[in-house]
Amino acid sequence: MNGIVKWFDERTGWAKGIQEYMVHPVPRLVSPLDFLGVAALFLFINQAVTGIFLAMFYVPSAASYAPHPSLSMAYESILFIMYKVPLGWVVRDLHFWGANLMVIIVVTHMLRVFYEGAYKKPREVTWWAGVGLILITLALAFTGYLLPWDQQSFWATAVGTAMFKFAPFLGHWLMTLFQGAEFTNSLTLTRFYSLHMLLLPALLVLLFAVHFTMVLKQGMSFIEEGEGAPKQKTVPFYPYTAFQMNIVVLATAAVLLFMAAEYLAPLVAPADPLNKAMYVPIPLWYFFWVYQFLKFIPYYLDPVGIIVIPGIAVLALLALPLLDRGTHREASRRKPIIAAGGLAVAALVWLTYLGFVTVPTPLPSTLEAQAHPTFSGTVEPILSGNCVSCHGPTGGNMAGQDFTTYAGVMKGGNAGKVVVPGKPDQSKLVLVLTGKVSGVPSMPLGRGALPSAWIQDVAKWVQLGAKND
Amino acid sequence: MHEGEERAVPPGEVTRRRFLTAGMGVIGGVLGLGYLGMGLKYMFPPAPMMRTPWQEVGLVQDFTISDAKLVPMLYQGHRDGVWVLKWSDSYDHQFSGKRLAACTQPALTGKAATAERYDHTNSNQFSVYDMHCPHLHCPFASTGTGFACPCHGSLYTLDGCHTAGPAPHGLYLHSWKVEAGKLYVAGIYGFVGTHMGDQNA
Repeated sequence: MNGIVKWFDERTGWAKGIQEYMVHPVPRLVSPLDFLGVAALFLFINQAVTGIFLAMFYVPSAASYAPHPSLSMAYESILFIMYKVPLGWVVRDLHFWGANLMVIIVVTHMLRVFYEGAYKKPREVTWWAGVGLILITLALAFTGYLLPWDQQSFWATAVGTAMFKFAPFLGHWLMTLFQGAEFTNSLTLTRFYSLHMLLLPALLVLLFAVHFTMVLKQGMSFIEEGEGAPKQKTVPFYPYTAFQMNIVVLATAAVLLFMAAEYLAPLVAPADPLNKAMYVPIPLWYFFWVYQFLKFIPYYLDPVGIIVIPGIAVLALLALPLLDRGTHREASRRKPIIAAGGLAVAALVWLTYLGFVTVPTPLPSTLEAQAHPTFSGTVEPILSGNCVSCHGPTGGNMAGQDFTTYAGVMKGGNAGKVVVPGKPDQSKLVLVLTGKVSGVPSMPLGRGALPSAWIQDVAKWVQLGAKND
Repeated sequence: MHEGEERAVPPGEVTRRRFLTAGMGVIGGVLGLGYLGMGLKYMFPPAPMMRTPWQEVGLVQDFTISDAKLVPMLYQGHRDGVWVLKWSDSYDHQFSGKRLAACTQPALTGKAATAERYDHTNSNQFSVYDMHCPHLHCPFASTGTGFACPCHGSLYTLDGCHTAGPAPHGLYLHSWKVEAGKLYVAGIYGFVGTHMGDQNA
């Protein structure tokens, strides 16, 4: 073993550097908040590993899945990952919750650095790389969100990409470039897939290399570096501080695992570019502040709200180390800067809160219940779009049900028949849609109830005798 | 003098070393711009893909007067939809202005009470509106007496006039024509609140 290490070191000279880094002196007193960057790194590795696995089954195509044309290939592949691939749901949940946690952690990391004044000389470059990393993290979250191609992600993207049109001069061109046409469509999916899988991770790794190299080179910034601060006792980084760092990583991993195990990553109804069920688009939770802000301002201020204010915010972050050049790092001696940052954070939190509490209730669906629903024309499409991904051969015929054929529907499942012709109030097929069967969760599982017109259609079809028409 | 060491050269003088340095920069720049230009050309949809040919969306008799109906169509080759509003059973060739809707701009635009004519042909037999809100492309819904967008609260009249909320103008208009009792729809040519010229019927 030693021989091999020696062989490599003779050629690379790495051992000395690593050794020196490992034992470099650090202050004895550290805060868990000092390791938020490491937590973010852990989460990125989680995203990379789970992302590589997801890509093995995910199909970036909005084209119809042949056995059930109302589902897209992309949506069906997500269902497949969630319900068929061994541990597929774990991998998807880790990726979903990892993305959410990563946004929280990188923003907290930045706020901490801001509060401690750690962006000051000589760490300006580290700070700039960090600002870039936050923007890339948000772009990764935004592009990845579209990939399941469900109603939520489709419409959040339709609105999000439409915002590009407010960019000066290039607006319409930029919007068309990202969407591949004037409205979000199947080309947008492949574009976002490419950005999410290739360009953005590459940029992230590049900026991370700059960020991390600078941290290694300059060491961590501690408040004690400030002018006139008393010198603290120091300890070697390894194993003391390294151990604490690992505790923070473990705690992050524990939170991530808990979220992944406890809360299934959402997947709502398949994307419908016509939005017949009148789904109300809402953005990702971390873009709720934009969403709320746009409700306050008239249209002629939209370019200000969408381009100018976020643009100024990013420029202000980049300019921060150049503007705040005093040697003092304590928050108490940087009151104007801390106050400005505090105000900005308060405004974001307040707008986000308002956005959450004012999400509109859905408008009446444009689906109309039919007077004479038929099996082939009405019920079968509802079943294939919403039920057969689990209750069908590709979904393992859960609960013994196969809803891909009329015979399968009439045969029922492990618990007996689900359709009593002429009696919708005794037919489980109808009752589960309204959540009225004790011991059986409301269907579709993990999604909101179907539009009431569809439930009425199924009930009416049963009432009319559940014929194979 | 040792190779690799730069001797003191007065600024501005073009030495062989400086020439080579500039040359490498230029070569890198040209290659980079080449890839960038190729990428943008590759990503931008060519004109034929951006066109929307005439397509049948239903029989004239399938639509009920004053009852807006959402029908599917292909816009720029992709799944999309239009709200079709039928005003009368036949096209009024002696258009007399009786269906000339005037959009009264909402007070917030600062142009209160300025009645703006819009393309009258689109309010003759049919109005065909794109299903996306002109604000940020949310799908809006019919309220019976008009249209409402759930995202940021923009409201429109049946005529497609914008009356409230943050949208910049009225609904997007699709060209339409009636042939042999069938309604045909093509691409977007403007929006309510502008006078775009006669493109219909």
